[in-house]
Amino acid sequence: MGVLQPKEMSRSSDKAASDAGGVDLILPETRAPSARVEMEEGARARAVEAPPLALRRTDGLAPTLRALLESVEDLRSQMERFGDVTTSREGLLGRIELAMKSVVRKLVQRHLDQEKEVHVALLNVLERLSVALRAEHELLDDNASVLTEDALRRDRRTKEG
Amino acid sequence: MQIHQLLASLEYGDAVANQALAIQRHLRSWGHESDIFAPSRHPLATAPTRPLAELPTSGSTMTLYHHAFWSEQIHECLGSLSGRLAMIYHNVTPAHYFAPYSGELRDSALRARQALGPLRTLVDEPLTVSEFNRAELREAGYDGVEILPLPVDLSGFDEVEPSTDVMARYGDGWKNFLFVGRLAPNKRQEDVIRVFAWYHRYVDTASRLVLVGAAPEIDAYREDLVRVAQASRVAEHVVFAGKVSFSELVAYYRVADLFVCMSEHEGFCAPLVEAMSHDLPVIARAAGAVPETLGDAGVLVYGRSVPRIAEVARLLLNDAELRRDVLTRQRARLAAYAPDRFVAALRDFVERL
Repeated sequence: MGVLQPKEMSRSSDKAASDAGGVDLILPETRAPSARVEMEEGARARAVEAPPLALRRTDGLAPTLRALLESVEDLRSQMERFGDVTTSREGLLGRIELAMKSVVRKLVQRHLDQEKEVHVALLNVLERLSVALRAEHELLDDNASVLTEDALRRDRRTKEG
Repeated sequence: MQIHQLLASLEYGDAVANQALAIQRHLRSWGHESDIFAPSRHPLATAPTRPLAELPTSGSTMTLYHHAFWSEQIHECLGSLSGRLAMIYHNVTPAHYFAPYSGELRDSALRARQALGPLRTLVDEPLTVSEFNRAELREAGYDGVEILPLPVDLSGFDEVEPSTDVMARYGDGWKNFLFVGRLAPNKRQEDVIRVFAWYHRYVDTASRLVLVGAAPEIDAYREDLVRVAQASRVAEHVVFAGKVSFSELVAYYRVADLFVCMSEHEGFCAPLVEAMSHDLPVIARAAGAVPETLGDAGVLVYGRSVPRIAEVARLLLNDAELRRDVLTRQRARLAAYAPDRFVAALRDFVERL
């Protein structure tokens, strides 16, 4: 059966490209280094023209993002337990307590369902927000890596002045 | 011999539907009885399908089930099929991509992935379209997974007249960036917009981006893309072409200067091959099956460094020597997708039965 060969074998510089600039140019060896230099120089030159806000480092975003993701996970696990009936007693007393709690739960089932709907909606909002924040964080972080010292100084001057 | 196919839905112009139709065409030409059974179909799909209720429940048959989406109806009937069952795994988009946009799609993707394990006991012949997908199947416990390449039929592109309307509107000498694929969060069209925006604002204002593809079930994602284009101040230069006819698709490929794919998850990504066949230099994120599909052609990108990716776009559009080098490799790569490879693999599979 025909099998397409995976191409990783033919790429000699995956790791190096990932470390140095994030772009792997598949070109004849004689052309690749100069193209990489042109790419880096061009990116730096244009970064100077770009508004400082677009290039600002995003270190401050990381803790906020991490806290948000933890909150989303916490909410999710609490939602999974929502409405569970438990008891700390053992034996006959424990079984009676569980049975009574189950009856009460059935009585308020409609209310529980409505609450769960609200929680799901809230979780969706938070997930959406965290996905957007993560994407922005990665994007800004990557963009910031092309900053030259000059651009950083210009950024600081803009904020100060 | 009866070799039927089973799909959740026969879509119009997607890779799964194209493969199912190509398989049917070849099986019939080799004298086999072969129909496509699907509980639903796209209004533009012209090939006939039969309802699941008509699936043979006795006799010696082989059923090829294409697994890409979740379908309750299909799942229910898989256990009662007669004869042998082959599954062609086209990959399932991870559910977390849909979570912010559609609970329904998230649940559907989750169930399609969760079904892989239980399906193992029903499937006699696991097949897939890429090494990337094969690795996922192995992880899910499948043994003996064979690869049936996607039939990338490029001959049709030369047989159809490109849409004159599209050619006239966008063949105006501006630099056209192109991406083809349904609007879906895993395809990261927002990153394509950002790369284009950087290029448009800091390199060449006589440029536009065309996004071909629609996703009516996740309108919220499309709205997000529009917001990204607006925030990047390039909204008027980003064309959301939506679902297009084949004639229009041909025209978009013809007027394009560069193909940019920032997708994070692909089981194969047939538009990369189509772009290469149109002599479009390809810039693509190294994710999913994309590196495998490109082979040693195109330009692979790691990370999301918008300025650098935009700079690569500039080089590919302005440096004739570089462009020629990339295109030479892309043309050579197309040999891997010659139709006879798909036909040979299909014939091997059928003969082995």
